[in-house]
Amino acid sequence: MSEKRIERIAIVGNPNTGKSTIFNWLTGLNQQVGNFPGVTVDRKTGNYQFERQAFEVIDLPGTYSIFPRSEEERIVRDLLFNNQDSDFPDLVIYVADRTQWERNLLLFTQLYDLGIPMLLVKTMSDKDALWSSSQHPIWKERHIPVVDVNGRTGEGIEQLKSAIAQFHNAVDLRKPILVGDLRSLQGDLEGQVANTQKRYAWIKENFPLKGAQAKEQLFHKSKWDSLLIHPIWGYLIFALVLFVIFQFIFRFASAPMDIIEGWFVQLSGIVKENLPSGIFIDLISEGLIPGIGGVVTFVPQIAFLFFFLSILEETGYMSRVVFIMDKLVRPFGLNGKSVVPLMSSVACAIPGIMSARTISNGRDRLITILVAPLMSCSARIPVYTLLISLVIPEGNFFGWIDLKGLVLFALYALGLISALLMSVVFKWILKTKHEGFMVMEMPSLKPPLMRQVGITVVEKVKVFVADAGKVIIALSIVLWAMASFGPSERLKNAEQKILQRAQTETLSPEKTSDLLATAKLENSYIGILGHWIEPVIKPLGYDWKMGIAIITSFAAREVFVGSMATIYSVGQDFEDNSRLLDRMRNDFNEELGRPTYNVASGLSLMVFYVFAMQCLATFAVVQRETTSWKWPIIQVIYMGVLAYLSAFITYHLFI
Amino acid sequence: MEESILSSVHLGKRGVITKVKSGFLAAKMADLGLFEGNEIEVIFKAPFGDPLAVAVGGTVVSLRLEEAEWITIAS
Repeated sequence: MSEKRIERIAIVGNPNTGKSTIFNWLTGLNQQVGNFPGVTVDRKTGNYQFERQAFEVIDLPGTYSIFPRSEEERIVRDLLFNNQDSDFPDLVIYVADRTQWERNLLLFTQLYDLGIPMLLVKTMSDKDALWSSSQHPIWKERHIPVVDVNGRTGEGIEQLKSAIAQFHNAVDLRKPILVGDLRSLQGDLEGQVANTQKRYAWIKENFPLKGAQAKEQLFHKSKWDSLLIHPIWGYLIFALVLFVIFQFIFRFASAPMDIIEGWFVQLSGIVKENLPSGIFIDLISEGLIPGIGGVVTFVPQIAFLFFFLSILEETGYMSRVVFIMDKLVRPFGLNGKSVVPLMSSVACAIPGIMSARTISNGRDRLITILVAPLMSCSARIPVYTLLISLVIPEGNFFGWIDLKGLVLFALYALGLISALLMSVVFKWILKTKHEGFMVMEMPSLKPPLMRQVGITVVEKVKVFVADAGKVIIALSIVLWAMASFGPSERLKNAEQKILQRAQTETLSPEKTSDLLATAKLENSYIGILGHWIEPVIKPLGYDWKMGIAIITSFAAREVFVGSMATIYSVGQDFEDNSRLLDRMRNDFNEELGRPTYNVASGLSLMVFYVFAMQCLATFAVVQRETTSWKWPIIQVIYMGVLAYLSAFITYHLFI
Repeated sequence: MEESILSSVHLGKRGVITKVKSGFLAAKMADLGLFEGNEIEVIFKAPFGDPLAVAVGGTVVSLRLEEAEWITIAS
């Protein structure tokens, strides 16, 4: 037997065993997250040093059995069956939670019989005493080193590291638990069930529960559970949890977002002032820096949301939400696991879509991703508030329902309702052979491990910045180029006109530069495009100015406000909307003989923003999460068509 | 011994699984401990009676009503 030094280790075990906790204790923040090739299953790798030796660790997806029932399990099976795979480990660290001993050991016995070098980690908990397994002689007989680790405190991690370093491969000495080749059962479901039953029998025989009371104690229902899944309290608590999360996000994420935005505005100012002007510097100051800014400003929101989401996940509360919501959303082609990603999308669709990874059913996950951006996200708020104050008159119903508030509420409701209706449509289009199952474990409730939460937040932010960031920056540079360049003759003429006017009317330098910006945008390629699509958007009640704003806000919805400010030459002073409001209110459409922004065109524009997928970052995240360009493009098109039709109907209803 | 389909039993019911309809779902259920001869107890029902959750082997497994139809228990 050749003694190969252990370099590459894989962590394997059931979900909810503290597997990732062990991974995080070993690697700390020395970890990378990617996808397994061709699928959207997290591939987490990391490394650590122990006694001047480097170890590479891969955290394989949680798995119940070597016979795969899901994409995650298929990956683990494929990897562990193929010792030529570049990820194939020298050693498997098998993590089992002692409160779930029976189920957790099933996969262990399978891997044992497959002859995989293994080390057993028992995660400890307060129910330890119930099992008679502590110093079980069986491990020695079967040449399996055992290490106890406390996931909460990290106790035992050093012992684990040294056990890994000193591991001696004794696979050849093992007696099989069950004779027979598991590989031959791959296509035989009944054979698998029979084999699994025998393995459970072996586990029960060798690790009996201590006494009859033990069983009672394990079956014990938590008082919290009866509350969390209560027909009334359950929903109230869920509503309260969402309320608190949104309060936090809107209260605490907006300040850092504004600060970050400010930094990037300043930064591009500094670059512009201190470096010679030219296309290259413009590219940096107006294209690249705002593009990076557009990525970084999302970070506080994503971080906050994942902070809360991972607490929900860590405590086990998430599975209670799934449990009480599943029946309610099922008619719409969604499942209980879609609820939290969709609700998160009310803050921002990006973390919502990223968190849809927990939906194991591929079709349900895709539907959730496709409809998530219909939920009214926070980026729509500036657009809605500007337009509502512009066109909706003061007024109320029954003396207490404010008309403006009612419109805002209706826009949110419209987003939610259309998300549900579109799910039904996609459910009908994306027919599958089998509907997918929801047989799943409900982990017991426990306090969250804040270290674990922190690592999740860092990891999600890293994924967003690194992967989606590239697409966002590239596309925002394209948008910048379209907004800053145009046919040179046309631009020159327009500029000349403004300069002449500035001389004859002796305009202030600020006024002149505002007017120049307007002329530049109007005559850029985007401006020309805006004019060009005017006939198309006229039936919606829009003119070319709104066309420009719609095109530019493909970068992000809130850009609408900034573009309007440029078009109406009020400068980029976001603090003061009143000047912009005045200009827009006074804009009179001669052709139609009414104000450009009236109730009908204003509502039509708002409805357009309910539906249209005006967000580069979402586009990039959908591309990453579906590993295809097809779905984000389909999404842009279907949402665009919906936006157009609904805006058309709205305009004609109110005109 | 009284046999009943898991989807039709009331909360708190305890029994031994006597039959699981064979198929893909049976294999998934077996992985989680839901197979013939194992003892289970219905410990939660969601607000509209669906899904339900059973205790098995010291852990809790939730399943939809239509999935619970695959399991027969005897008490």
